[in-house]
Amino acid sequence: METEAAAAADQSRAEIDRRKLEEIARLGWYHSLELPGGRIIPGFQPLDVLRNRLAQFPIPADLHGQRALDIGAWDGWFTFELERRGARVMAVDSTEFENFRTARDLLGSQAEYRIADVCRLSPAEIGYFDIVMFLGVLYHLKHPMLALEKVCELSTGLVCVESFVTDDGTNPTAKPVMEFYETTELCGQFDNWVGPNTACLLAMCRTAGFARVELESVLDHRAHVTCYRHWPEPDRASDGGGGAARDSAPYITAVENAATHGRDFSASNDDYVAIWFKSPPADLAPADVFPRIGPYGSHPVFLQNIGGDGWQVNCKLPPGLAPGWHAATVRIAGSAWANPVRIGVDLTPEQRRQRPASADAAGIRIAIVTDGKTWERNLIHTGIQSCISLWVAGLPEGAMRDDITIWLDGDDLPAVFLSEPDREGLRQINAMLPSGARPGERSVSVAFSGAVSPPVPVRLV
Amino acid sequence: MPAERAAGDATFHDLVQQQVALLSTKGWYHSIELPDGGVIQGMIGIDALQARLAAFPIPADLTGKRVLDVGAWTGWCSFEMERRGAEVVAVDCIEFAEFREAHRLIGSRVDYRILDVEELTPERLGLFDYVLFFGVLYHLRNPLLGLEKICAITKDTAFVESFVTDNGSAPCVMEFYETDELGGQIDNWFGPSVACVAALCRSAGFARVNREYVAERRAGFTCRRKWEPAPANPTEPAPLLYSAVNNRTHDIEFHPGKDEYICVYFRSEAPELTRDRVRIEIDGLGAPSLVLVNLRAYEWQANLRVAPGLAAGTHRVRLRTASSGYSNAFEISYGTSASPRGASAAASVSPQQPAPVVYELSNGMTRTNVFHGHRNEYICCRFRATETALDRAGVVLQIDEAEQPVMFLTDLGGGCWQVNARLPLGLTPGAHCVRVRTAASSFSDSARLELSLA
Repeated sequence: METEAAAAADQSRAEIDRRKLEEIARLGWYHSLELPGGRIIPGFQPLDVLRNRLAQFPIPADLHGQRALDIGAWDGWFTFELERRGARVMAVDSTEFENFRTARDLLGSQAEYRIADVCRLSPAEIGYFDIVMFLGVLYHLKHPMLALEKVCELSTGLVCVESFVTDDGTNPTAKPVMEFYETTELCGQFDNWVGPNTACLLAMCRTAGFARVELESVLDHRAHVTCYRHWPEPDRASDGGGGAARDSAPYITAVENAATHGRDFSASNDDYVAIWFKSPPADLAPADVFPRIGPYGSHPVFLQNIGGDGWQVNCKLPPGLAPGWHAATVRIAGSAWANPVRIGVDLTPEQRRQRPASADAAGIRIAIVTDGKTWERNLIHTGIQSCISLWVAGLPEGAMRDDITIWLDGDDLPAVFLSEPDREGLRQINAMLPSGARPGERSVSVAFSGAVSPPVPVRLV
Repeated sequence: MPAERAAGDATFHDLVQQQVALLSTKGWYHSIELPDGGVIQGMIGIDALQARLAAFPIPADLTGKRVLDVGAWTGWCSFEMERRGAEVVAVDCIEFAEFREAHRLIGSRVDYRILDVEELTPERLGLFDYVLFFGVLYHLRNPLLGLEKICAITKDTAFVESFVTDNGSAPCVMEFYETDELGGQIDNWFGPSVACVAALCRSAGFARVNREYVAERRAGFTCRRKWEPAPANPTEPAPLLYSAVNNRTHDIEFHPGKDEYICVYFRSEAPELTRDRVRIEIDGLGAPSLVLVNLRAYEWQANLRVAPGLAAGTHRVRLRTASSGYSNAFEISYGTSASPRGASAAASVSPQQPAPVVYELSNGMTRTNVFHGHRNEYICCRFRATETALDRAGVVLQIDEAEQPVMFLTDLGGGCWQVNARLPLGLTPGAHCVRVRTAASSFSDSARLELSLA
């Protein structure tokens, strides 16, 4: 009986799908459009349905001075509506719709129209956009994560994502899963590839590199998700004009590439930024920590207390950063931003030279030597991934990690990490010891730009 | 030091033993057999590595074959493929010192590259007879993209092994792991069901996907790019291929920058044709159909994705059924700049050939001569001509004496041709006249179509 009921349901669903397609073909228009003078082109979706779809998102009524991108524009209702609100709009579709061009002529629209697949869009070609509309496209794509990363890369403000979802969104703790449609399983159409549940859609949006992702609504298996590239600015009340809040700002001790431990990042990799910071003891949760790289917020994917007031937070290198130096910073709920630390993204040799090392390095001095893992002073444990950490005074501000060498009895150990100066002006330098390092009493010094610090004794065990 | 020269060398033996003692503390993943019979014990024993490999139909003799090992880790599979005679390229996303050590100790010639799966292209690495894709799929944020790259670089067969979420009974779904949900590791992104891995492999473009095993949350699949050999004694007549066109533009041009699909129109008298009995191939590589639609009587349409890895240029599409021989071939064009459509024959010439005879004029969607002004409707005009070599630029089609761009032309055989053109915008409802000519002929008589706006 159940099978029969399911078969009947399938049949009626197939019948609904067929009628829908017939109706679209009969009308010739998917979106309805309102022409100057009040004439309406009736499409499959009436104007009130289109308005309601748009109303799910917090899009300002006045968009003057803003640039908007409408991906999957179809007949163009959303494009023309954002243009009506004052935005400069580019519409993109995978297939050329003559309806769009017809409508644009009838409306006297200035919207630019491009035919391209979303995964091939690039800021180098089309620039960046304050608002990106990504409505009804995701489930038609074979590589949904790639598309969301691309959309994130193109946006500087907010992205409106609307997608088919397999559930009604009422269970926020559902296990994130995505159906895969090999052929015509979804609505009898072979251009539907994936069906995420709401939890999966939200998780994928977060993973794409946005700061904040908010579910607005789920209406009839359509989820509406607003993705923000920025954190809200610190509360004015707690900022108090810079006094008290400034003091409560976290203090960053180190920033590095979570995989390579260097300070170089590549926008074309899935790179993660590790930020070490000190913040007054509190039970910080990921939701209280707001990392920012360049202009973009990036939500924590990992947070741990490393003892006392020390914390480590990891976040994705946000998509869309131009090659060059970018400031990494962080704040916690209610605080001001921490001291910024610069990281390099796809640096060119010219950009590296923008911070020439000073020749004035005669005064460098090792203040502290510890094991890089146990923090024991002047004692290094040899073995796999053995690491030495030095705190060094007198390095010029422009000193770069790659120009620094640690000498262990005259053997070179390249620095793998160099921090910004701490409150006492000391900079942390880390180096890896070779796994076959000989135990015994040794001496260590720091060499930079032709100058060498006085040696400091250290025992290898 | 190459192994063949090191065997029996006491110094080398001592060196190896030192290395073994040192390396065994390093946490190797694969165990590795050394030329002197010693074994570096890794997390996975030699028996388990051999058993996994034995689950796949990989030839024992790979002499003259190129093999790609994706996600080589410590390299046991790479070195085993090399031992079987293959020229091997091993790829990993990060460099493993253990691989380099083993490579040196074995005296291997395996080419070791540090590349992401997305960077695996025929341009960079060439094509491979066999590809091992073990334990990588679930580490990818775009699993289908990864499999497409694997398919594009595979000439014959890829062996795919993955973590799976079920024992084979679950529907086609994948779990998404935002952080460290799977095994506490942050580098796991998708957990596919067994059915989903198979569907992803087919969607990536493999013609045949065979499940070898499912055990302990791992599954193995053999993915072949070619159909099984055509039957020696066909029991069904070979299909007649009318055309293979871009489903988006309805012409024969396909663009590398886009996710492109082919509509294949053909005639087959095979009874009860189903999607899984259709064997379409492009330049000898099979491609699974996504849909099969019966248009009328023996006329069929199949839609499929353009197989990955096509080089720029022209390619030959043909098809058969599971029980027939192959049809005629139809040429498509991939990644080449489109030639001007139908413009070059416009210059009037004195007719040297008899005028063509139009014997069928129909709506490409409905196969009647009634049009409704729908977006994807196109004119499908079949005619007889005495000329044996026509090309698209050499055929002119007019509607009410206005020339229309020719989307494509195909030789139906027996002096019959089909030319397609789009219905022009702004055509008024009612009857319209369509006629064709070749570069060397005068116009045919007019055939009639009816435009009836809904």
